[in-house]
Amino acid sequence: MQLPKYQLKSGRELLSYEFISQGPKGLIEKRIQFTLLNQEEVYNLAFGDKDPITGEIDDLVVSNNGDSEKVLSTVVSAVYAFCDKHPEASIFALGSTPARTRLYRIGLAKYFDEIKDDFEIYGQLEDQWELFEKGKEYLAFLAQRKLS
Amino acid sequence: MKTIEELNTSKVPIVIIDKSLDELNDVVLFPEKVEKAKEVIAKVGLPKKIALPQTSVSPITDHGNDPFVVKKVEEAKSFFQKNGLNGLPKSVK
Repeated sequence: MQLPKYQLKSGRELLSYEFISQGPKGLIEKRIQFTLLNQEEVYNLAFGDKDPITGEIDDLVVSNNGDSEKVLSTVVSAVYAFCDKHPEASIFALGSTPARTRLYRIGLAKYFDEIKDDFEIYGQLEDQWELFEKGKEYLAFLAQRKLS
Repeated sequence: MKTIEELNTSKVPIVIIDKSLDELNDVVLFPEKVEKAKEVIAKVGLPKKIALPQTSVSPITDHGNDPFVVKKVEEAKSFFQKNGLNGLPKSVK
């Protein structure tokens, strides 16, 4: 099932992305970045709003533009694009606040059936990882593309 | 090349390439999150399926020390010392 998502722009290495959220609060430019954490091909996934005046990226702001599902779908599509270019990579994701981590968990649970055939997804519980299960309060997430 | 139908149904999106965004690759936009991520991984590690082994072994070096390989090499050397190339089929000489 193709979910609505925004058009992505990216550099040639598909590490940094931009897209524009459209809603009642107008146009909000958002950025997604995959940052290499270590030599084991583990990348951190983060995204936030670009301040139109300063140009800085804020991952704490709540923009409330009425399109959170479309934004999440767009981030998921960026993950697919990134993994298409970097098939050996693993992706780590952690919310900037506990509330955001919970939002990621809800989003993962919602889209789990769509993505479980393509990704091995893990959730962190205190000091260990386990395969992601809906309904559990994970602290962070890790995903790796399944190689066909 | 993918067909239109394949592009429409693919989960990999069509991404517009903007070379100016390459400049961001060397800029860590979310340094606190990156540091936090490193802390978590340092503390918890990675799932076993994802974590690479601590030491990576070169297959070539390994085979060089494999007793079976060493034995076969010695047998081959002994054969050539005894027979030279005369023992080989004409197609190989």
